[in-house]
Amino acid sequence: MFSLATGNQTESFHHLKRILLLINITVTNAGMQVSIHSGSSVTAKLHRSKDHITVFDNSHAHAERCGDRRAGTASRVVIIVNRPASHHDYKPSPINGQIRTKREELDMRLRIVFLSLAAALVALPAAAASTVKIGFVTTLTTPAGAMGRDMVEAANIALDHIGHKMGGKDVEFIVEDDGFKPEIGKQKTDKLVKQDDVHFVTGYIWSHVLLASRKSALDAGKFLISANAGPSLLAGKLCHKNFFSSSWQNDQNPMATGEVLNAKGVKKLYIMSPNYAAGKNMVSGVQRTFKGEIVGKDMTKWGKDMQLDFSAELAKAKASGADAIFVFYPGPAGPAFIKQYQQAGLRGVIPLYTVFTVDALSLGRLQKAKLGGVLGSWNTMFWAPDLDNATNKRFVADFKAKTGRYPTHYAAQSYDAIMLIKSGVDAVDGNMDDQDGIRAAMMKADFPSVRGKFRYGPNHFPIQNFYLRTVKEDAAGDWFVSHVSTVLTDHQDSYHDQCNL
Amino acid sequence: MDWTLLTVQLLNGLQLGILLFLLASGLTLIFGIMDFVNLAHGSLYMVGAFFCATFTQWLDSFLLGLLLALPATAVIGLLVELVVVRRLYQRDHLDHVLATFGLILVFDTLTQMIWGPDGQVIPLPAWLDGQIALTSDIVLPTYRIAIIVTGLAVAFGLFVLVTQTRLGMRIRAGASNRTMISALGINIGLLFSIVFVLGAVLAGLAGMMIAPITEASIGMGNQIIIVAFVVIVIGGIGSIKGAFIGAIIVGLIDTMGRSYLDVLFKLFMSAQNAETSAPAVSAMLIYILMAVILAVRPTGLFGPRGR
Repeated sequence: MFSLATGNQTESFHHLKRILLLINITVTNAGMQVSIHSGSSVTAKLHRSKDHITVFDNSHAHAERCGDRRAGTASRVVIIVNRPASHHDYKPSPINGQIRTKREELDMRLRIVFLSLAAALVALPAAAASTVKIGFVTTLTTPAGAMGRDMVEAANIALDHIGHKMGGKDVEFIVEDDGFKPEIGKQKTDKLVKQDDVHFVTGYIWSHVLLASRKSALDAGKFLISANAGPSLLAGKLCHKNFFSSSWQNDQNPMATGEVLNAKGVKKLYIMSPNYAAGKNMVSGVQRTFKGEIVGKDMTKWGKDMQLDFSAELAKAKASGADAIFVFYPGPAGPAFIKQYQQAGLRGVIPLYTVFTVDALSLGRLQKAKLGGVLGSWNTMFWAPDLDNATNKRFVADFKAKTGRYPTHYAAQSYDAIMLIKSGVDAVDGNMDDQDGIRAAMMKADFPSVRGKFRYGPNHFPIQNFYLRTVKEDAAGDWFVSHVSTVLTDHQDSYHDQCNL
Repeated sequence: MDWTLLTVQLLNGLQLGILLFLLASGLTLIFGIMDFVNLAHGSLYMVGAFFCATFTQWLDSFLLGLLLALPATAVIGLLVELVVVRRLYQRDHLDHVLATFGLILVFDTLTQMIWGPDGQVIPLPAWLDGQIALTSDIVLPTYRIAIIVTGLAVAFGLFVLVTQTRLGMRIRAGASNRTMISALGINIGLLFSIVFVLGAVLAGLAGMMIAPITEASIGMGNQIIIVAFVVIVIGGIGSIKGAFIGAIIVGLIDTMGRSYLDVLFKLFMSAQNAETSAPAVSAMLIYILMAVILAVRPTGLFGPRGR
């Protein structure tokens, strides 16, 4: 009945069923037009005066306009129709040009449906972006696995809230475990980018894992969205048009702590932090704003085999005559540090100020062990579980209903990462080839964030408030970090000047 | 020089050394007597910590939790010996490494399935959770003193067991010449089971002692087991005395490195570089020591002669 004039076809009959539902036929005097909407938008036109059908694949045409030239994609396919040698002729003639018999009508309709099916088969495989694919790299094993679990749960709650749809398309969510190691994180990113061909890679608790993985995602033309780590390099020299943060730059939280220390009249500070990319950023952050003297500093071993016994460091801190201790011990190191701080008898002697050390995960464990030393301790963060906005209330309530505990900031940031992606995909109606459109929409930060309204700086890091928080007991007797006051308003990271975007 | 701080750090080093000794003594017995490389020794350390955490949380008493966790760890040790380890004695070391590495993965995954990825905190009773003032300046956490006392008591008990009892004699004989003692009619299978379970209990005890400080977490033994191997290599494989001396040396070097290396480095490099490089170098110190000792005395400080 017909033959295809292009050699660029792939047989993929599993598309057939979907296509049948999406066919739209319009009959006009000039001929007929059949459109298929399925990820790409394919239009087949049959002119009565011609003996062939032209198929336009609009998404490809668009992709080519965007400069995304992929080998083997054609924006136009021509199908030759072998007209049946019968008395029913489509050639317009003065006599039957305006009038068609019912038989003709049906014949033509059927034929066009058939032809458009063939056309879709030709065109679709190259543009089969029927789902939005999101890869999520986090730590699910090792003692830090609890952090990753929190993030995945929050992302799933976000997906539930949006009905697992973005821009009218289904969302495919693929989680990978980095095992707390930069090299594994990079491998998993490579797998998501190459094998799963995701559109977005997000997650990333650890700065060193993110730094190791960034090239894999960005060089492949994917969007990379950090849901936690905020290394200074990615905010400055290594900033990238396709990199976004749904969290903060590492220095920002400790900068807020530095301001709190000044306000509390601390003159001599002892600093302890893990010896890795984020640890160094945290230290430089607090030093940036703290006006007093740093009387001692320890950078301890970090990674899967992190140092958890701080006896030597705490003894030094005690002997240093400091007025306050500032620490950054995320994940499993947090409760360990707080216990030893208490056991060493430093509670009430040298007050403790922390960033990313006291969170819902460590508090749960500390409460189980009845380590009340943490109650009333201060920390700073861009968000708190009791921050007063509708999105946050819904998120915290649903998270507590699902898991029975408060969400951590890791969870909050993961929720926002999904919402950020949705804002981008919605803006282009699910046309995943329109990266410029997605990027422009995400830049606006126009989505319901658990932290309330914020905006993005030129380096795609949030410009947002930072709050002082303290540990309290809620009505049910559970310990949580509660919002106290605003320390920094609309705060931008210190590295955006070094970014050339 | 701040002598108070130095004394505190020496005691901290001693406490770390004692903890390492608990782990290394079992390892050196198993390695020295049974010629079995047990990478999963660290898993028993972890299992002990998790048992202790669970029992402590149930019974609301650390001491009861500890007393219950010891036999529970012994049972796990016995099961591992009967089910897996017993079949491997005749194989070579590479098979031991492979099988016990597999055991580590099994233990880590099982722990994650049973207890979840969170660490388990062990609450201490008030009388252990405070501080003791040795002099007016030297104030140490009570619990760290308790670790030192417990460790020294266990070391003494092991010393008596190995040097004064019949079982100890057989263990020593096994360490020197295994073929000979089985030829003399000693039930070597039973002896091996006893030694393995003893090692498991010592490792479990070490895990129980450290967990109130750091908390019980998945894979906690995988890092310290490497240090424990360093200890037994320094001390001489198969020697309890060597394990003790080696553990104290390693504990002191590690703590002193963490305490004073950055001060030392600042004498000849910038503060920034000293702060970054000191922790890296102090983590290497014990391996440097091991390399030196291997070069000078290949069998370790107290290793058996002529093997």
